[in-house]
Amino acid sequence: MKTLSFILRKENPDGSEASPDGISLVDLRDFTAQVATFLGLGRDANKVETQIKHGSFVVQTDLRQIEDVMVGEIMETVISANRQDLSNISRPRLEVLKNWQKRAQAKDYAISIKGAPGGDFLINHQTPAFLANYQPTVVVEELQRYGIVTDLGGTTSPNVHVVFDGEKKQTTISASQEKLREIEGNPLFKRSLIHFVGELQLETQTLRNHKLIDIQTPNLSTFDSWLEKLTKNGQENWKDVPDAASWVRGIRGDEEDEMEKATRGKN
Amino acid sequence: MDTSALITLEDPSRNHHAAAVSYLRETVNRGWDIMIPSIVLAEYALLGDYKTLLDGKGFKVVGFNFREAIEASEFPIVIDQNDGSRVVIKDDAKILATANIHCPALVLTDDSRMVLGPAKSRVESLHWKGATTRKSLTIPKASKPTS
Repeated sequence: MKTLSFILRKENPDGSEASPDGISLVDLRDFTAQVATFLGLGRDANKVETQIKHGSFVVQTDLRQIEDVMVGEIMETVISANRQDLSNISRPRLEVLKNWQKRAQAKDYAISIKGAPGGDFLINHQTPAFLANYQPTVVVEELQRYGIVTDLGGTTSPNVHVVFDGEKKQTTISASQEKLREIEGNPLFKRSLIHFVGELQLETQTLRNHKLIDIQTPNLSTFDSWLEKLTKNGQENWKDVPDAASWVRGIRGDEEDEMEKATRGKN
Repeated sequence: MDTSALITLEDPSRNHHAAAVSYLRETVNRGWDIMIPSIVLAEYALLGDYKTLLDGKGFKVVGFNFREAIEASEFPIVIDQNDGSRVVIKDDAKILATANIHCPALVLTDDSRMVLGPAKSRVESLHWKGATTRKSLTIPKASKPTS
């Protein structure tokens, strides 16, 4: 049976042999929850079997019961952690590892993962604090995405709940009361275009700290009236641009004087 | 959508205007998103009615940020300006890089040279990273878009 074992061991200050007796019930509970998070199993955590072994608390996972893709992810994570390369580790797994290192630094616990290719992973008080010092690369992205608004409001922390297209989980987007007041119409339970900024962690491609800019609800029934409005001044707007393609090529640098021509009509 | 297609859409006197409207109507009917790269918006807004364009018809502006920048830097569409003192990445590359990041079903342009020019080989090689439905095409004279 191919297994991956997560081992929690009490580090006795006097150097005596470790014992599961020294681990509190709360720590046992937290550790098993952290292992489930690390494995990415969510509600499938019942697949995790545990064993009490002499000197430690072991959560042993039968990898045959986990999807191959997930097993690959888990193994990559352990290998990356061993190399102290955190750039490709997902945020939830990173948070678990940080928590473990924090406990290890306090010199009360040692945690190891056994069964991954590339060697066992160990965190104890002698391990360099590479996790605590890690700062992921984050850029602010301004995005527009479609989704269903499932809730909006709040007095102390105004926000909008959205289920984006292609996702099942709900995303919370913070907003000011003023922003929510400015939204035209009632977007609740309508497919809307959500305009927001968020912090994108480049390595994991995860977004967080969403902040609302605007919500627009498309009104498809007025396509013709919209088109009429759009085209009303179209010929006048583009009268000095006989060939759209060559004009575009010009302002992209193919012809030096096209930008001047393009802006002349505006002034 | 590329700038040239937006111009053709807004100006009813253009040869391919009916086709552009047909594409857009079909796209809206299907509930598809219509992406406008921010670089395209900058060009279109020089003379076009961008406020009406973006007024809730399924258009969404996709920015040119870190991922798009890195993608564009890998395009071979780089121009050596005149004496070679300045090298620039052509906006075609930035727009196609944006498309590559956001994976549209198709790229709509009224400029055949956008894909037949220096970007062609890259577009074909992209073709487009495994998305079998994705293709770049010029607005045809036929009024019905292909699915």
